Amino acid sequence: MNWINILVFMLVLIPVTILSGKIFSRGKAKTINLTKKSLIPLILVIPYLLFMEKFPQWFSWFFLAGFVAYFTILGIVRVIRGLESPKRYLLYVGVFIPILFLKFIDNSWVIPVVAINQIMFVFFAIYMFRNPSMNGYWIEAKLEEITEGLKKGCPYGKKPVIVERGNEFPFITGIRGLRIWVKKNRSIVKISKKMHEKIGSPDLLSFSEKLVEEIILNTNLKKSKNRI
Amino acid sequence: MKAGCDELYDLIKIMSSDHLFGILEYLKNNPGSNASAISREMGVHIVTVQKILDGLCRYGFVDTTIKKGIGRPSKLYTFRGGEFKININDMLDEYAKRSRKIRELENENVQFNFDVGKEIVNAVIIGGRRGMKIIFDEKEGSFISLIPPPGSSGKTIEELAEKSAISVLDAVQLTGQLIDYSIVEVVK
Repeated sequence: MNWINILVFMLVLIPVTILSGKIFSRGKAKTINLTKKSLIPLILVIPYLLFMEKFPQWFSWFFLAGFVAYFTILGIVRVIRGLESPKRYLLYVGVFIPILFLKFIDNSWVIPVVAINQIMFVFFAIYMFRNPSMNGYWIEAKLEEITEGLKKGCPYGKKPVIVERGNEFPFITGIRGLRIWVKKNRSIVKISKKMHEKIGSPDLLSFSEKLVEEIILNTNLKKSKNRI
Repeated sequence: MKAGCDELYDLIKIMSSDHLFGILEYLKNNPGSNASAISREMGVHIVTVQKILDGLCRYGFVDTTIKKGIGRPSKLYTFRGGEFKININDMLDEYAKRSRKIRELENENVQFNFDVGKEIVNAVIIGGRRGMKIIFDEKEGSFISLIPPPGSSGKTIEELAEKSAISVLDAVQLTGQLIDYSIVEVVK
């Protein structure tokens, strides 16, 4: 890989991230935030590709196998611990793990992997578009809206907040530092102290109630009457 | 013997157990028995037997001695008997606490072990990982999980007790313990 390839990669990745982020978040995500987000995978992927270039093929395979195993096991553990839903996990695995194989695109067996990746991406895109609340960009943008009208500078509690609002179809969603479990009769909101401070330390109960309400309204859009 | 209200309520709970008199009779006939022998003999779970014996010990109705040997020391129980008086006024005062509004207290030293599947707090750890761990049963855990967060207007103990299917007096007693551990505060 040379620097021209990396430059082309950057030029493609940044607009694609911004565009997909805008579409999935229904235009709610800010361009500056999306640009910042697109830089994170770049920072990770470029050293990975350069690193692979310097070593023999067998070592690259070994490294890749370790990488794939790590993320797969990490995901399974998260599903078992109830931090992630199996559906979302499979979609993420199907979309992001094959990207690691692009380095070996010259090998014929990688082609089916890439094909699976394309199919999974279509499912992922449909799922994310139909359920904006499953998308991190949308949640981040929504947090700003939700906290606007709330009392700020409130104390933080470590216990997850239970909201008396459920959904016919249980699901799990969230972003780093914020996780929401929507169940049939109730919902559970768990927020980290860092995230609570980041969004201006709002009143936890009102914040959780509003957040759950918004998330439920923007999930399973096909079945909900309250479309955005 | 005269007991405080919290303790008294604890004793009443023991007295209402189906296995109390069976255990007492067994102890009277077999002085120096341990909990596992009583549990085995009576077909009652050892935790239930242990709870009843510990409660009776606190009031002096049963004596205990420690037997040391190979392995862990074991507690031996002997029947002693006695009497106790109930102060209904104290009980009523305790019951009146049910209308107090409570909420979680912001406390850096408290960690919650939360079971998302069951929607209950399994345990609370005070003072970091090596700190004190308080384990709760399912009803207590459900009650704690429903306590509103800090900064909220709070909910009454009675309301929370009703939702978590715990008795009001149990909820009041549990709240008292949580206040002592600086986990919960009463909204003024």
